[in-house]
Amino acid sequence: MRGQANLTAVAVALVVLSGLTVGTVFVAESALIGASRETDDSRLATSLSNRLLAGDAPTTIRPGVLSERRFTNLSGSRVDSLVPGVATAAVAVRLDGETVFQRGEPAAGARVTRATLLGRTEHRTTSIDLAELRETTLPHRTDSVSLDVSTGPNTTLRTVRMNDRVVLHNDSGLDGEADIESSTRDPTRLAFETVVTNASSTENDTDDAPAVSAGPAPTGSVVVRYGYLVQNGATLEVVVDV
Amino acid sequence: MSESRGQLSLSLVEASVGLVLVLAVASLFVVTVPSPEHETTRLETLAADGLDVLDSSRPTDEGTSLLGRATGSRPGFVQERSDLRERLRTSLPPTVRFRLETPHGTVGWTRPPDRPVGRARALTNHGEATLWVWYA
Repeated sequence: MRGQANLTAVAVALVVLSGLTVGTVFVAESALIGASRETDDSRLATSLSNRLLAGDAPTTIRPGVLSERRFTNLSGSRVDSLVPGVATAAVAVRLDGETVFQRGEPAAGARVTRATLLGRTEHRTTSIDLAELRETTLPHRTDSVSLDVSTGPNTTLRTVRMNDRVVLHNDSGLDGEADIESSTRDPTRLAFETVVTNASSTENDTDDAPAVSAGPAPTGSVVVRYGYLVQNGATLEVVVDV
Repeated sequence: MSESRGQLSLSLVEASVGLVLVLAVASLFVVTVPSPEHETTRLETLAADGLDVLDSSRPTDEGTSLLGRATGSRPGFVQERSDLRERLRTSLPPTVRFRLETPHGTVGWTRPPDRPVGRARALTNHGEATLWVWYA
């Protein structure tokens, strides 16, 4: 008897092999779909983290510095407007481990971790008594200062200088509120040039001698309000699962 | 030839070979090894972030950034050393260690020889700073 191939064996082998091939194609397809979804996840998570940290983003004070107030109020619509592709995905945004925004369950998605700063504005108010002081240097750097001037009846505030530059001037006297822009490049030094009218004479100080005046002291006060930036390091985490 | 000889059925051999081939191909799709390149890219992004953080941070009594002070002079570096460490420690994830080298000094751990390490460099007006980060 020749060693012939057994028909049953061939049939069984064919069925097993075909079944295995179909199964493999199925596994391959789901692996490829999974891989492309992973790439999408990764791409969206990277985009979202970049957009959250961008200088022109609604969430930042400066490039790379998140605004604490605006970032902790992060909403779904804000996230979607930053990266439209995440509108249909599960998203989580965390800062220092705490979840700031979450939609769905993105645990299986791509995670992007970034190092950043969290900033907030602290405000300080200080009152200058013009009888005692006519110059002050603010203890923090700031980029805007608010003044509220109330001068006494014998005093006229003619000029306000910031770092030797005249920022407010009125010959008949400054009064009330004003906002001045300053710069964080240098400490802010304010100088107030006053003129005191004596009841008995019309002798006036000239504007060239702001610090020392003979005769009665000026009366009045200037309330100085300013804001300064406080920053702390923070870790941003973005997880996206499409 | 005798019928009672134990012959290996040829179709069994063919089927087995086919099986092994198909299983080998299937296993390629199932087994995925996380590429060490991804980790290095992530670390490089974190290192660049770290330098950006130092460049955006300002010591309260100076106009230049923390990075500028660290690279500018030895006394400046010494004065800012603890702030540099604190800023990097709080902005980088807790699982990450770092090393910052400037022309005037170094802050951080020694680099591990056996792990992926991300590196970023910054050139300031005063000198160059290099930051390495790795997962502890």
